[in-house]
Amino acid sequence: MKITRRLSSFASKSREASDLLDALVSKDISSDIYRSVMQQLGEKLAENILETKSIPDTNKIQVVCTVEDADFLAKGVIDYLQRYIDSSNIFLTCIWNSKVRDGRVSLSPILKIYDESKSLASDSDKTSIIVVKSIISGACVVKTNLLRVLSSVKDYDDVLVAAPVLLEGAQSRLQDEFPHQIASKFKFFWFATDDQKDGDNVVPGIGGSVYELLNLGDEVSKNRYLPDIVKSRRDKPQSNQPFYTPAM
Amino acid sequence: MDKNQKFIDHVKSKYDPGVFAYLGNKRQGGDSGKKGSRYEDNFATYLMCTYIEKFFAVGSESWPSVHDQIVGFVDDLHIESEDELLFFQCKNSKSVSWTTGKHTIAEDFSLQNQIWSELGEKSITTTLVVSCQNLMRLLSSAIPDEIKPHSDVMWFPCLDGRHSALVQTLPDLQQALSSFSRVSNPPLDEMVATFSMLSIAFAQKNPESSIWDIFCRAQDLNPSFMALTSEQLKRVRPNTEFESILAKIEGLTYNFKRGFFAWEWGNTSGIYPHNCLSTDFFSFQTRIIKFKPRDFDELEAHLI
Repeated sequence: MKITRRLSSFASKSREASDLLDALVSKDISSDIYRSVMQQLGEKLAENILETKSIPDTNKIQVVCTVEDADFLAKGVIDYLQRYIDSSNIFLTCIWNSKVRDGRVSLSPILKIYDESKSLASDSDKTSIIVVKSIISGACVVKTNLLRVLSSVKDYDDVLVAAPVLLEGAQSRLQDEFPHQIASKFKFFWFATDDQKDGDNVVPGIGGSVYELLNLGDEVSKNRYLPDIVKSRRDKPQSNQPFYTPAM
Repeated sequence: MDKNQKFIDHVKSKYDPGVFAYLGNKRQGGDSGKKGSRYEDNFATYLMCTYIEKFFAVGSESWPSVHDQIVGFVDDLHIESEDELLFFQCKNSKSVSWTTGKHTIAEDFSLQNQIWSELGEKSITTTLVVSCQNLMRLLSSAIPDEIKPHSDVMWFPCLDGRHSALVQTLPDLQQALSSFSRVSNPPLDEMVATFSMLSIAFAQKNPESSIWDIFCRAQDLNPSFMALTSEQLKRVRPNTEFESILAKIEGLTYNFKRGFFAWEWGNTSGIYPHNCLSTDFFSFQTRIIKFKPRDFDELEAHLI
């Protein structure tokens, strides 16, 4: 198998970013180191985003991630953003996706969502959406999670899609799932594009199954994980008014 | 004798051998054309959604059957109810005409109507489905007079397997999906999943399946995205002990509106992926009763 990896212009100039990519695929990397590398890659992605001035100063920022990325890649993004942006303007949406594969149909149904942007519903401020994902291959998860976010966020500027590694064609696969007026708002931030897969995994990609490398189990058991970042951020709800409606 | 055989026998006995040979050629073309015919599959799923929406709105005693491999001159899709036969020909091409080619679409539509009329069917509609809106307008204004009484033209976009794009493109499809998705006011991802699961059930259908059969099959898929019907909802009886445990969990709200356990706790929310009539949900209730979570942190581990 001839493996071709292309670095983005940012990664080509950033020795740190390309070293971190190499670290992800190094053999026998411990889960602790892997987690740390992912977090650092998140910081580099945020650096790349801010460098391009893709977020207007007045915007709220909604960082959207999956459960497996929350404590590592997404935390790195948020930590870096908070150095320059008031943390009260940064909102986290963390999503627990399952997987359905049947012939040509592939779905990533949402089992659970932690969504701080609910408090933005009546806010007139514009939102910049940043979707963070450790790797984008078929784009199914990112598509699903974006559909959920775009169903509730009405006033948004660009949709920034940030991932350390993309499989060749991931951008167009994602954009093809949205009408042009939405897809045209997508801006991609990435460090490497790979063009080969071995089974489900992109090679070299991020070194294999991200759930296993992060020591979160497999694609089922990772959904039992409750990220520390979610635990620490979510407030206890004030209301105890049930909205139970008898089934009629 | 099934209707396909009746149709074949009628053509063989009453029509010119050339027409019978043409019918045979159509069947062969149809069988090979079926491979990868996603445009037709998406259109069939879309049509089913509109029928299911009607059922959820007004209810129905009988459900039409849907056939995608039929014998006939208009043979991509056939919907058969007690009082009407609908035939659809899907043409995902930029250049479609009623009257060009050795066998024209107009001729196919005419033969289809004529033969089924001879076989005693009263209400027959033949519809040409195209993927270009301009072409749809052109063809609509040029339906030949001889087929006009029973023919129509529809637009349906060709978006291959991209169900997300399809759902976002068609507001009427969103409206239909909203009526039978597992949550009220479903977000786009829930609508897309509902459509996709129905398309999976359609691909698994038997030749004589009714739309109800396909809907039920989709309800049984794992995970399930189809709402329970009003009749099914009458059988939803959450366990009282289960509910009394949930009632003590501060900040938790939940409902069973569409026959699914939808919960919310502050900024965290979710839906149990099996409907409330399933054995999975029964097991879930049993687990909650066994472990008796006292707060959301304890409950959360059981929600997925």
